[in-house]
Amino acid sequence: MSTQTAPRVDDALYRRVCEFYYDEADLLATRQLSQWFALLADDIHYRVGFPEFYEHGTRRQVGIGNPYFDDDHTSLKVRVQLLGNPTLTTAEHPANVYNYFVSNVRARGTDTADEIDVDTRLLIYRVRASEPVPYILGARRRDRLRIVDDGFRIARREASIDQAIIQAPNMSFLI
Amino acid sequence: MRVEHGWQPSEIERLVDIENATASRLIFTDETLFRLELQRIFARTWLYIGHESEIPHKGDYVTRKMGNDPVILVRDQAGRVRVLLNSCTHRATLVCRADAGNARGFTCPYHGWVYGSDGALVATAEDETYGGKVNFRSLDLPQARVGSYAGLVFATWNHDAPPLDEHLGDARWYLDIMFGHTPKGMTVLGLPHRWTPTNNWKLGPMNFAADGPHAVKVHGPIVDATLVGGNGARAMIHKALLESPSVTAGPYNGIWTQGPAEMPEWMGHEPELVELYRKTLKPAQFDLFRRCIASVGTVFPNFSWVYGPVSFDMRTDPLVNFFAIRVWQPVSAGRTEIWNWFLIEEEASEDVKQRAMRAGVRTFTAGGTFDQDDAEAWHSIQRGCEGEISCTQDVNFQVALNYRDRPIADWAGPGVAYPSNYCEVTEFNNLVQWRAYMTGAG
Repeated sequence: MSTQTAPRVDDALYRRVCEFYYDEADLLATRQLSQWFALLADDIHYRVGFPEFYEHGTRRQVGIGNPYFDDDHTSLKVRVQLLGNPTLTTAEHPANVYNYFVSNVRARGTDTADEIDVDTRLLIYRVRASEPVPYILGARRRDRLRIVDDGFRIARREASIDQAIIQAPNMSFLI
Repeated sequence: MRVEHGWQPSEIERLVDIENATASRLIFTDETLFRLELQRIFARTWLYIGHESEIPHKGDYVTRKMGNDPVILVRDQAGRVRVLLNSCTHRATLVCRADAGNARGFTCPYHGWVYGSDGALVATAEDETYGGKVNFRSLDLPQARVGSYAGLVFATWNHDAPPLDEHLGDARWYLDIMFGHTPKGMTVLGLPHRWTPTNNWKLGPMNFAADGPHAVKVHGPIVDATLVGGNGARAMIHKALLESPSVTAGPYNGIWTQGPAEMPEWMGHEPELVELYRKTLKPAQFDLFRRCIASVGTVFPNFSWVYGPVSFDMRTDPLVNFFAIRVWQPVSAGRTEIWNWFLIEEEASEDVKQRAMRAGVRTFTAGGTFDQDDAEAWHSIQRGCEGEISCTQDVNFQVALNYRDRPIADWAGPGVAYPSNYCEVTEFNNLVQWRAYMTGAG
């Protein structure tokens, strides 16, 4: 069943999904990254791509493709360990100020009873100690969530940022 | 020294004090110097444009920059690689606004002028309206001189520059190890990552030429977290950096960090690929590569590479090597675009290609666990150079005073090598080369 055409989830589940994303956004924004990490399934595949521009009819694949992030549980654990501890990075020390805005939440059923697909849009707003001009980044995310007793686990995140040339010196944050 | 109107060669010469191994901070902040850099460096010398594997077929193209000029790297219908100025000869419009593609030519979006993939003007808006008064051949797209070495395509606008082979000179021996170590050579893994550090473009090439001492301070935590855990990894890297060679050869400066003798050789390399290296490289090149745990280098002015084995958990995640090329594009005195490509041997298996890509994107890119921290350090350097008082100060490379007169006597490669990645000789040498170009001696 195509996830685009699968039926939307019912109101009660939709409400739980929205609460999940608002809570997740706060964990990412306030750098409670070990708690965020607990929301990930062990087999998570986390990818963040970027826009490519082609003239009509001239698209061609260059190489196998290289997204900005292509992580699994092991590598995300390392990222979380560093980014979540202010003394272990230069980029996040002093800790930057973040706000994460989640919207356009759409949740659909899948072929697997305890899994749903969720599309969200994201706006990240960042202020760094050394740079008064804020950085704003839009992104789109397509997640596979696994329904578990205490909520959800993120089993897959296919995201894409909305900047072809990132207008910042780095991305020391998670999408 | 502050000069409001232009820079005399003698004044530029004093900006880099070779004897004292220091440089004025104005080289990072002065907009007039930046304009001179575009003229005297970027319009004059060979610049890296792309890799041949990005344009394997006739009509394949990618868009690039040379200094602040937009260009198209294209393989024309005859199979020849060309670098065209991406600007219509009629009214200057970009004739291509895509990242990549395949086409028989380029059509200007403003009046519909058409150029072949060889840059030749094929049609104007209405040819007959010129009544034969204009030679259309004079309106072909301007083309840069193109040269290629080990799959690396360079170009220059300077038709008096020496040929690429001569320009690279002794640097080629080191480029061979990185990009020509198998018969089929390297292949790029995707479109470039691009991001915009808020600092002068030279900080990147200097860091990659290479800055040994920053590695433990800035990257120690990620090394501890990923290599073997605990402080053993950082101590091993520290010792390796202190005792490994830094090399200057032609326009190249860089480091070849060697793992300890008890470390297995060829960590992260597939055995069948190592056999190809053995057949392709000279024995001395093969030996330098054998225990190399980091090669970081710059070819003047703005082409750099970084290579190394990566694992995010040595118990479960086998080591794999990544290769990255990057270009530091000058935007303004205080702003740079980084263009960053990942590559791997064409002969590598699909599994190795995927793993090498992941090793690269997890470390050396905008969201990479190494680059994210360098960017903040460089941003802070720029802020520390901008003030009326701070710009009168120097940046300091005086570890070089202790190393510059004692190169490694029996170095097996071309050029000159120094016995420590901490030596600051090769990093500073990048600025000595800058001075030569800026004063007209380059």
